[in-house]
Amino acid sequence: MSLGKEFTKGIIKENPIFIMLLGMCPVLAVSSSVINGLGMGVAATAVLVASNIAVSALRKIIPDSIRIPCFIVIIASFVTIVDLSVKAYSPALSQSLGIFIPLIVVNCIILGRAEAFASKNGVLGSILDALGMGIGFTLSLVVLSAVREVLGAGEFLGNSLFGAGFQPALIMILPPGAFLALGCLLGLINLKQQKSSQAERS
Amino acid sequence: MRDIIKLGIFLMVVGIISGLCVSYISGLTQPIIEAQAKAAEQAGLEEVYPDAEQMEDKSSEYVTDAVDPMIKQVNVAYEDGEEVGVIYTVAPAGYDGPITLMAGFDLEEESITNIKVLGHSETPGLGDACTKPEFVEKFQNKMIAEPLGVVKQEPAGEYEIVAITASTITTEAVVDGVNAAREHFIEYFVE
Amino acid sequence: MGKIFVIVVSAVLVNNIVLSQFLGICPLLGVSKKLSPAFGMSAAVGFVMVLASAMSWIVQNWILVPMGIEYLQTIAFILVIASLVQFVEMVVRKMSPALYKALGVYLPLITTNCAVLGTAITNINADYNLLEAVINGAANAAGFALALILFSGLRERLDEVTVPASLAGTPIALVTAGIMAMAFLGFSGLL
Repeated sequence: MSLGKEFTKGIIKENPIFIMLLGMCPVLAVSSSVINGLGMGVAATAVLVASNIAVSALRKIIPDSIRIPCFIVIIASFVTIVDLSVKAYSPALSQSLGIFIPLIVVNCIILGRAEAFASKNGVLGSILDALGMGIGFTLSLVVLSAVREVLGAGEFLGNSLFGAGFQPALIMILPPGAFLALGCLLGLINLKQQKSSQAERS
Repeated sequence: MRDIIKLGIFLMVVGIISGLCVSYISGLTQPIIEAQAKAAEQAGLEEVYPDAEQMEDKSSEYVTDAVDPMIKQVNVAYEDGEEVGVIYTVAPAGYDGPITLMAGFDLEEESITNIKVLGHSETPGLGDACTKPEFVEKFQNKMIAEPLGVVKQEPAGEYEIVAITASTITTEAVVDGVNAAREHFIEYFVE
Repeated sequence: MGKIFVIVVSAVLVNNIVLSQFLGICPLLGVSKKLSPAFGMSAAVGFVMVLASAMSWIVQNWILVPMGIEYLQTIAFILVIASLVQFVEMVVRKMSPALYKALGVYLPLITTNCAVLGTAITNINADYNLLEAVINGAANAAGFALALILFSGLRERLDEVTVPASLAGTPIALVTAGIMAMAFLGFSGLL
């Protein structure tokens, strides 16, 4: 596989959220506004890139039988570093993302990429893989949170979109809206895939 | 057996190296985090009581077991060395967890200067309107002769606050917090 | 007593760990296709969550805080949970092969279950004492079990009905979870 493909596969073909259904907890929890979704996406991408680099660089030293605990320690350290940095430079974001920043540790995307890709491939490829997956994750989060913010609050990035007469569907920014929006988006993606595969056949 | 020890040592080395890296970063960020928290608190105090020359945290003196448990912090504002106002941090129970807010009182006017909601977990789109200026303004310059009450619709009397639409519990919580501060203010500062 | 009641009702119903706090979504979608694995997973999570609440509280308050290294919390907690899961797996395998047969496959999955780490961190953030932390762990485990078991019951029925091809599988499951979350929304404001 060429390096370009390592990068692009995470964005569409193996999109971690919409196709692989990984890392659902933060996706559902922080997608109530676009700015939160974006912040979460960037934080997770930073951890993903850093841990992929570290795992890939150390892949020949780490004994096979204890690789998972080692990966977890490496990931947890990077998560703590990101957590501290967000607290220092963007306290407001840290408050609205809350517990979900430390919980990046148990995000299956990150351990999944370390195990499935970085532990078997070179540093450059691992960086591209992490960037692609991270961007795919961030984009999906932004799409989902845009749907929720527009429908549920009538706003986009905090700017009101409609006149005062618009009554937003409050349910969309409450917890149930997260499930409903993600379910419907997945349905739409499936519909599109089915249509295109039908078109190929005929 | 030897393998287990070797693996254990390896894991420990990984742990120690990561621990050291994290402590290094923590050493760099800790002062910034503290400065941020302090700046945020100072900004809050200034917003609630705008024209004080000096503020001092007097919580250790005034927040005793005898006062309402809602009251978390008491800051006194000074001008020319004289007490001129008090800023309370209170945490009444809202619809969905505590609402932390600051309420400022002026000693000379015997009125509320301003309030500011610092943190809450009220329903987005309903109760979270308690942070908006339209709601906060209702408290500004209210006199403290009587405790505040909540009404659901206009018109509101002199000592009444109109509730946020569909969020009476949130409104009542904020008013409760302000009233608790008011009582403490009258007992310890006015009299 | 009052506080404990509040913790339990809040964790099980009002702020249900799965449907309102969004922790443990992976097992909710992964092992909810049939009822019996849902019971197994709930039991395994409950077991680990109670132990992890106690252990992480002890690590935080007896080791991290006295040494002034609270910033290592995330690393310490994930290690505590990972070793706890290993330990529980070993003990259960030795002590009760029948239980191991029922729970064994779910145990390794729990390390990366964010509900467990989430509960451990919440316990510390909410300033609970050891007893409250353990009760919160148990209550969250009960909330997790409630959501998972109800949901898998619904999904068993879902298999029997015809849904549009593009919604079959995960999409319709998510919509179902959304409707369940809506029902749980009815509990908010209960406390």
